[in-house]
Amino acid sequence: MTGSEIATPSLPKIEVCDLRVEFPLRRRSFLDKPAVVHAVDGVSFAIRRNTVFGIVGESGSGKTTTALAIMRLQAATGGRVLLDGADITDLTGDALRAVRRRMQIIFQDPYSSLNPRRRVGAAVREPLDLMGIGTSAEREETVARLFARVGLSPAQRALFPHQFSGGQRQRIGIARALASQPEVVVCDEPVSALDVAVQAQILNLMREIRDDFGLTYVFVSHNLGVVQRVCDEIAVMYLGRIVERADRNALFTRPQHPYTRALLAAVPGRQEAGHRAELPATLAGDPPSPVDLPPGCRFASRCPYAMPRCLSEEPALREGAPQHFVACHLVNP
Amino acid sequence: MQDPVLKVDGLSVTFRSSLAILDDVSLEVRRGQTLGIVGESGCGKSMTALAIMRLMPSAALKVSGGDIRLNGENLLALDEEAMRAIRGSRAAMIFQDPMTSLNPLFTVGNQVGESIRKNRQIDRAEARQITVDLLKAVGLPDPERHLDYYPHQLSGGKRQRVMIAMAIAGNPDVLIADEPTTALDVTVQAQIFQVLRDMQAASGTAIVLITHDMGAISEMADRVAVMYAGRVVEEGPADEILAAPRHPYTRGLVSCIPRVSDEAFDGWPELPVIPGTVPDLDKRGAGCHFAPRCPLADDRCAARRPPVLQDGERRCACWYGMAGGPAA
Repeated sequence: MTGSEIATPSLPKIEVCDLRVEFPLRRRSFLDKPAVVHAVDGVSFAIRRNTVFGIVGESGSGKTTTALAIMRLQAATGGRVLLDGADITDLTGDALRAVRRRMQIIFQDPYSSLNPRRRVGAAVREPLDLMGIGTSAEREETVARLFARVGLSPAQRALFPHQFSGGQRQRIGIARALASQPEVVVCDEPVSALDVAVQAQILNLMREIRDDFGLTYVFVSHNLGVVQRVCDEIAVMYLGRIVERADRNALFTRPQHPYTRALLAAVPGRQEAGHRAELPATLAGDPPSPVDLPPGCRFASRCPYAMPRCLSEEPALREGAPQHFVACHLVNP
Repeated sequence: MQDPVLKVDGLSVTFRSSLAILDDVSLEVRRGQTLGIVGESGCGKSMTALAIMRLMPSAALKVSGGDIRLNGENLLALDEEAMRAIRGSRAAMIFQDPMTSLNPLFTVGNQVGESIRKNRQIDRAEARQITVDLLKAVGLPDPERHLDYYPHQLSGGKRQRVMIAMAIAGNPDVLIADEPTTALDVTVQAQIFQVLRDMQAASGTAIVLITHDMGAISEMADRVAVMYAGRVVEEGPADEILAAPRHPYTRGLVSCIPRVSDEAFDGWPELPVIPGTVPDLDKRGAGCHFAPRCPLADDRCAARRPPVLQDGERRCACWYGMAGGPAA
């Protein structure tokens, strides 16, 4: 536990209020009205310090965009992001750089996130160089220590990315994320590109460094088996909105939103436990376009329980059971 | 019991005639059944599939032993022309990334139609009608409209459906699916599996499903073969092997992949792991290839190749026997 936590035990590490990210689409002709993709459309949550907050959903749900917007790597078009209670939404220049040092990211693909022509030691040292942390000798020493911490040999600093396996490259990505001694680490599908046996090795490493460094994780993933073990709290996103948010055990044992239930039922190999029957045939469709959003609930077109009200009125995310938030007219009439 | 549709017996493939990529691989799959092949990357799953289709990606790869029989006919004895006639008709394959198998310059109707006309003497109008029926069978909504689409206009799930339609156009005896849903979202994956099951129920096609997902195995496969470093280390009925794996590698694979569970969790539990990685081709010793990563391994495991022990429907290649404990 850190000192600041004792001082303000209830202050969340991160607070996100009504976050919006919109991408303008190019118009086909100047007569068209400007079209906008609502990638993240009014998302709110708080992340307690030293916990793991999971964001799950399918491609196009806005989970990665939300995570990038928290880090200010994606400009928000609306809403606020607070780090330790301080609004970081509009920071620029030195103040933004200072915040960036406190938040780092681990990417999905350790193949494309490392420069193939750079020695990996230099890649890990780069954040230290950019932020001017310590002397040159101290930076080298820090990098060597980080290599040892993530299970690589310090001598491997002199090698190039292609000389490493996928799992080793992800270890390098973790070392680089740790270099600036961050408080928050966003993990965007951190093991999805890795071989099955390597995934567990990397997840165990992430678990150790979270405890060692006192990190708060934002964990973006579509792998529900991993999310169930790793995350304390989970938000389920669908087309830019959170449809359900709850404690991990509540979400997995008592999923409320029809989309969450369909998602869990679709996990292969669950049919023996009697879950298969829940997969609604209507989920056969594709989600609607994020450009022309329907007026009511976004999931209504695929929802087996949709009522007339669902087609006209968008459900708000409301607390049914304590700390269990669901956006559904059926669950919270 | 019926004869297997596909029977691979003692197949070995070498790289530059000295390194064994596949080492004495034996597999079979019967009509209407699905055989799952699991293992990490580099264990020979895809190489087995490519060897069966005679689509070896490099001239440096040669079959050095064994045979491959499709309904009793030895595929290794066929010349390239005869093999080409079999591909797409009696044996078909679908890949992880549909974009690499679909031609971006031709429409969906064009490509599926061609795979139909390749095998049957029919005119374009007839082929078009069959194409529509096939696209309907793989669950593509509004198939007439999709005929004129190019691959880039389709979502990943729809592309995979088109590829399955092409693969089943020739009504194959065996369909090899190499990680067909790995790139897809979980709800789309469930739809694709349903398409494969429906197709199999309707036509009796034997399926070989290559995957690293034990959930997919438990949902789709009748039997499963676990491959490690070019060898089959365990094989048998899928439900039995998932419930009670015997080979230490299978046990590692089953436990290291977190599956959605009904139990409650507290904190972040340490996950069971298989330490290390699959050995490179030139670093595979004479004994059991899994020995360097195996919790049970001793000197004998490192020095001598384990025998394949047969027990009813199951077989397992481990010095420590079928029950997982030390052999008597």
